[in-house]
Amino acid sequence: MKSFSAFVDKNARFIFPLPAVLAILVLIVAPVVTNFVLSLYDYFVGGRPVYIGLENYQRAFGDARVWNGIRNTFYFTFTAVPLQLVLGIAIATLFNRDFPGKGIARTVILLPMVATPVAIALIWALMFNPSLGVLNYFLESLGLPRSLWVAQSNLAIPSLVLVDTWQWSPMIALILLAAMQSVPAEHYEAARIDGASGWQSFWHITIPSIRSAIVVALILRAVDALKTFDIIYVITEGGPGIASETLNVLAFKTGFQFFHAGYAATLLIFLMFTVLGIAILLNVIRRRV
Amino acid sequence: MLRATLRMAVLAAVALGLATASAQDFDWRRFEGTSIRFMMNQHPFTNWLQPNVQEFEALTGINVTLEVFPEDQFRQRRILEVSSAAPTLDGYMVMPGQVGAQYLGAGWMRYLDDFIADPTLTDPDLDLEDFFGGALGTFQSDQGLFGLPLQIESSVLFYRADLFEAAGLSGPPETMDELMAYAAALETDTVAGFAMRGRGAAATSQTVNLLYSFGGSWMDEAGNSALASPESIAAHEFYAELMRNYGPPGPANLHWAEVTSLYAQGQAAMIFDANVFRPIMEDPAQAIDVVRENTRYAPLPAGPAGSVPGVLVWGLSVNHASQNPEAAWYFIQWALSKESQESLLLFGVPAARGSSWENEEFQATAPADWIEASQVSFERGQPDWNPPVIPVAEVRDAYGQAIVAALEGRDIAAALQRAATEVDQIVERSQR
Repeated sequence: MKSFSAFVDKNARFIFPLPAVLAILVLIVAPVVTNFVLSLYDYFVGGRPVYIGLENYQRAFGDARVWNGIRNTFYFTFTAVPLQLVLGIAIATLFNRDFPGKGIARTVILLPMVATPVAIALIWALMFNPSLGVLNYFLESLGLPRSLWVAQSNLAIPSLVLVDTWQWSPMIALILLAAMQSVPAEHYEAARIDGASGWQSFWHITIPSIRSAIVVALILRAVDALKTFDIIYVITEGGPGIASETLNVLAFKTGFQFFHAGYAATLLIFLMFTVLGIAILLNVIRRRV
Repeated sequence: MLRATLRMAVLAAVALGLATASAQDFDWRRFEGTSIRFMMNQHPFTNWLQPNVQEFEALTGINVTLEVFPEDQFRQRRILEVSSAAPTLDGYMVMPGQVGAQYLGAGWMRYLDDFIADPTLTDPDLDLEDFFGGALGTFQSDQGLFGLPLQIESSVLFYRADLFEAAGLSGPPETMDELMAYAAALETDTVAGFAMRGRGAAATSQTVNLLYSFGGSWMDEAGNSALASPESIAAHEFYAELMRNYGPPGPANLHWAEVTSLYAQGQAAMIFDANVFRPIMEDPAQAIDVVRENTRYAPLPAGPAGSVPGVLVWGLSVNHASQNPEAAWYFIQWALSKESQESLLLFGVPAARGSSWENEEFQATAPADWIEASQVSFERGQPDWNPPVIPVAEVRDAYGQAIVAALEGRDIAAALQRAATEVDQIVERSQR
């Protein structure tokens, strides 16, 4: 027993992280490696996998549908995330003040984030319906023309951005609110004494103070948005046609509907490097600010 | 003398006995003691079958094990056992429109013609002619019959008699030209003249009805995609004109749920979709009063090549590796006999035998025009509501993109050409 505790003492630096290392190996490294190996095969599920080297990658580079997927992924992410950032800052600023019913309002605004994404998506799909949906009813009662929402190719991604923004702006607000509350009140007092307007103290005190929180929120949200699957698949299935088909949705269809597991794995490697690239880029920015 | 007469009588009796025996050669108890295993989809047919299996076991002395799984799992387990030639699996439920090309290509379904030709193995009351033409046709290849149908569905036209009357139209459209003219006459600001599916891959099972009625098909005789044929282009130009001019807004978003709810809410005067959606139009929780009171049914209007609806057929097949194919065939004959099919239809599953649909008790439960429209469609039905290839979903997806292009007003011929090229590539890749 003594020798055991001595052994533990001596090797604590290996033993203590062991569970975490094992978990990472089993849950992250192993699937990524398996996925990479799979991407080297032509594997029609149900048939026999055939090793084809890098042929899947070659095909993916020349596949217009893959480029369409990448374009849609970026379009969706880089429309949704900045919008959510602006809204998130606005909501956080609002909740950084005191007003009656603030506690309740703060809880309510977090609801979209905690609801089940598929349930949310189904409801939005109903609301988007051009003939029977409630959104067009609202538009009409405001005297505005009806919209086709997700039923029209060039409106599909903007409509999905709307859902994503509704769902995730509160998360950015939450992160930024925490940062705002840690800005010392003295800074604002000093600014006010110096005659700064509300806008000036927001722009010159609040924003610089929460800069690093903004970048963290951006990283989290961008990585998540690049991988968005649930709301897109449930609401449009990537349609009309392939107008809102992101890389993730294409990979899902390729693997689970068309049964080309090898090619789907290749697409996911593409997605992984895209997400990784953006995350690294944002991380570099974070270290600069 | 007496003895001679007796002997004659005995001889005659024996001869007579032999004769009757050969006429009654088919014996339900011939495979008494055998055990068979069938793999079943968790489908209303299976719900009907399970409590009735004992009847078959009592009749034949054959032991039946039914292995039932929800559809996704069922399909996975089935392909696993069938492709590994499991000898203990004797038969299974199958939808040839889904996996026919794959299963036939691999030889996984046993042809039954030798059994049918053998009077000792086939119930004289089987009566293949009794099955709807479209249903039996689904289980026929160039090489013979590879199963029997158990249920059949098809698409029909749902239309509003009150709106027809108000527009001065009598009776349903019988041709595609009439369909277009009627849709134009019925169209108002709030009610679409006509609606059917438009949502890419999901729409293909419906647009294929137009494709075949205009003389087109999935594949040409050489096995290449025929989606860009002149007939196909004509069919899709018709479809796009109909939907873009007289359909609801955003037709590229319409799945069956959208199509049926538009109609149930009184926002479409005619729709074309599966006949099994009739209960929606009779349900006060889903359909408004005028719809419930005024819905009528008709078969698909005829195009240049006639009215050729697709039929969706489930059936039973014998596993190629079965060690008891005869006993499995017995089970299929019993499960799909006239009595069984009639009882199935009364249970609420659209049985595949024509005689079942003549049942009076059943006829009292459904509108006469729905029954007639269904029967006509079942008889005419062509089995390939899905492309007759192995990568079904991928081909439907490629074709679906052309459908969306047509609905969004892009160049139809070019979109179909692109789809055809893609389909050929997909099929070629799947054959490597």
